Amino acid sequence: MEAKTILLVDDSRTTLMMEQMLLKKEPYRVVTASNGADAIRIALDAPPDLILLDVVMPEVDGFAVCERLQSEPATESVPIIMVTTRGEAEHVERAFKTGCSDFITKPIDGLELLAKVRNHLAD
Amino acid sequence: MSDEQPEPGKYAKTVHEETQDFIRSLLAENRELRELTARLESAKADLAEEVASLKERLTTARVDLETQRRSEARLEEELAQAEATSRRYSTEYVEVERHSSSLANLYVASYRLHGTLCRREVLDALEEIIVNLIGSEEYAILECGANPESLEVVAQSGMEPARLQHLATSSSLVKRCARTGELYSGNQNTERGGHDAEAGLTACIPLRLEKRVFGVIAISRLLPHKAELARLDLELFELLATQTASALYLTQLHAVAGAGSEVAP
Repeated sequence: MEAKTILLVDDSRTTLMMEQMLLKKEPYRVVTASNGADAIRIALDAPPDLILLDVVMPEVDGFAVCERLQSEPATESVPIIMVTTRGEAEHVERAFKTGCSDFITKPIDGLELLAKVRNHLAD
Repeated sequence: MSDEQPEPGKYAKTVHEETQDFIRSLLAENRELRELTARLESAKADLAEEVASLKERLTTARVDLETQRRSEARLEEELAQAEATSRRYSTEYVEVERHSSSLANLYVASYRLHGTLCRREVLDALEEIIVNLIGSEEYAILECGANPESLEVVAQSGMEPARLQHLATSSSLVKRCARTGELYSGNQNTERGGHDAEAGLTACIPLRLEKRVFGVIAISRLLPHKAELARLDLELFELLATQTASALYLTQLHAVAGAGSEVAP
């Protein structure tokens, strides 16, 4: 069975590295993007099975990426988990309004991340 | 008138015949009763045999039931033990995963700090660690300068200028941290008041290399959804205390070496 592909999007190299380390022991193929524009391009070129998407990024933020990908037939069904330092209710609400499937706050809890990734890839 | 008397002989004969008939009917009835008795006794014997068989089966069933109950009790005990073992394994799995995640955090922090010889990139990595791994967007990174009473702010986030000024020049916590090289971590105080910079300081982390303190990381409030410091945070503080100082020192050496030589490292 072909490995599932996860696209990691974050302008923080530290977060990208952390997510890669946490996902390394799982049977997934990981692709990274360090900004919103690259994330959109990569996702449209080869739609992943799941996207972990940072919210606060310069120029094209996570909300814009999510809305764009949700509007494209090739990526509208790809589950998106927003990853952010902003855990307030209004941010969570906005995230879900843009079409994301789930939400996780930083600092990332490894167990929580793995559970959510497995859950959405099982769907 | 003449009374007609039955002839004695004929009467006796009639009585005799009737008596014979009666006797015959009694015998027949007796015979029927005997047959009935025999049938009833046979039926009784059959029933007694069936009762005995049922009693034997009941005894066997009771023995089987008792055996089943003991077996069930044993299985329930085994199930309880299996469930307890499963719970223990689940707990251990969670602990192992948490420990693995903690190690990943420490590895990533160390790698990022030592992954460059550029001072600016080391400071950027440090800020990313504070934001993404510790969970704070209100902090200041201060370096010790020529004046031991005053530190220089080299990076910050979410801090008002007056507060930064106070941290750099007047904060007793920061000064003690810079002087002693001792780490401070405390309960988060959400009260922020003017120049009372001690209120709201979650941690003061000395950047120390051997016995020399190069600077201090002052962390104010944690992110709203993070209630308090965890054990991992304290481990990260200890790592940052030494690794940041050595990383920054290496950038200084690299800068000096670069200035003195055209040969790339």
